[in-house]
Amino acid sequence: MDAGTARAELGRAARTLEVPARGDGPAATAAREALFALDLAVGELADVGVRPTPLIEGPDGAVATTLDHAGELLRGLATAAADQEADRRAAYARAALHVIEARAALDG
Amino acid sequence: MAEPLTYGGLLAAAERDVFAAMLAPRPSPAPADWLARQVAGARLVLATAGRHLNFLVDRFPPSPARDLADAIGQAVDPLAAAFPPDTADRAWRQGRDLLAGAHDLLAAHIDSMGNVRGPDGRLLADPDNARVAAARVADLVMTITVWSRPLAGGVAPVRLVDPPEAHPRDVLAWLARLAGPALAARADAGGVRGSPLDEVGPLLGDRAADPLEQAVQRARLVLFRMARARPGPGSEHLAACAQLGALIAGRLGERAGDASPGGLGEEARAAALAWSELAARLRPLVSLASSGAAGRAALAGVAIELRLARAERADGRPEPANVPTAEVRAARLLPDLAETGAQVFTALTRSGGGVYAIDGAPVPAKETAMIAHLYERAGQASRAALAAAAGLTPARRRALAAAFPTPTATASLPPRPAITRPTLPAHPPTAPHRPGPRR
Repeated sequence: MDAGTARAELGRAARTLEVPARGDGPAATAAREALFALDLAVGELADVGVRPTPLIEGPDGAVATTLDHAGELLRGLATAAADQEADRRAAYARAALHVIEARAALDG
Repeated sequence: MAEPLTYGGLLAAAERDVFAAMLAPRPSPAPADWLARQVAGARLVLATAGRHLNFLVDRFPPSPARDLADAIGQAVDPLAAAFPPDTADRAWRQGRDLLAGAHDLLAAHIDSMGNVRGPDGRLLADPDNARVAAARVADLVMTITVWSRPLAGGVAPVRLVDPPEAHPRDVLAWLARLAGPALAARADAGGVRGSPLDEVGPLLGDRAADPLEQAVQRARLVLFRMARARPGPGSEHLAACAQLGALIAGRLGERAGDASPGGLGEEARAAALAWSELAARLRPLVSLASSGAAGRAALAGVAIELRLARAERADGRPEPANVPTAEVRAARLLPDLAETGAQVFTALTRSGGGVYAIDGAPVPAKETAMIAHLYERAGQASRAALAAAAGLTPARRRALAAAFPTPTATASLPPRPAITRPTLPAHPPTAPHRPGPRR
């Protein structure tokens, strides 16, 4: 998966979540958390996207792994949004935050 | 949870120590060496007060506070050698150290040229804030003069000719003459007590604060710096900021529960909706600028700490009663998200990097204007939610109003009263009093 494809998938996932995120209650909260995690993941992609580094096949491993997680995340988010499973969306949001933390730690 | 480290808190602690020094038991009759120790202490505090007053007001036109700073300089500078700092009693020295700490805390927010270095630096550029803060310092000076008068025993020298030879009683009478300029500087605030500066914390955050507070402080500074960086962050950063705004405001609304008109719940939900709309408009945009790992780490830090605070509450851990809820503390980031977001967006639309639709097409001017409008709406809704939030001090509300002026907010401070200002004459027209030998 290249950065452009990943970004497009994230965009699709976000559009699915934007409507529930405007509501009230636990489902809306979970959607807002998921969207935030997703926006952070887009930032990750944008940072790496400006460099000609393959996301999965990078020689440094760690960066590729982080972004691999982001790819997994967006697929999970999209699935969760379709199923309206608030808990699952929140779980992916948590995962995304861990990804961001790992990346920040990696960057020192 | 430790009390937050703030300028106002340090000043209050300094006042307590100075009052303690003044209330210390007095021998009767007071021997000259005891009086000399008091003079040394009062001189220390007054010298620091004068330096701090200068810092607060020297960027503005002449004022009673500046007159007081000048008068203090004239009064205490000649005394330094005759009454060295190490002879002062401990409470005086502690009071001086705390006052100096308060000064240093504020001074860190601007550089030597007066340029702001953090999100609270602009509060120092507001003459009303300076006037009110200076009045508080003037109040302390006034109290010292009131304390010194009875110790002076009715002596009223108009000029110190030879400080090393002057009796401490004469020096105390000399210091008591600062009462006039202090009174004028205190009155200059028109009775307003509590300035937005009181809430200002250390530029780089308070390491003793709770983790959520630290995360918010870190995020405020990072957002401030990113908004001024060139090249700055891109549209991805803006979308994440807006979504964090939606997340925080949504949490605030949930916690409030109450949906009555004008209540916190309603205001917070309106803010969450405004932020959600803004994020949805920003998300399809791309830009050539970097999104910035530092910004993401700071934003994620706030979200994580907010979630942990909620989890701890859900586990039954009681929240401290003396501070606002975690949601309200996190919501203090909302005005910064709105302001810095609008700044970055404006810079992006004006720069070569620009913002584009995901297919590379330019963003229509109508859409750009809509996003700018949504930033305004999100900022207004956030401020309304914060104003409705319980636990905000009046000074904090004024700080928010000052950060984003509105017609009602700027009208809160009364006009400067016309005051005839007494000054401390350096060379009075009357014959100078030459103190006799030390009594």
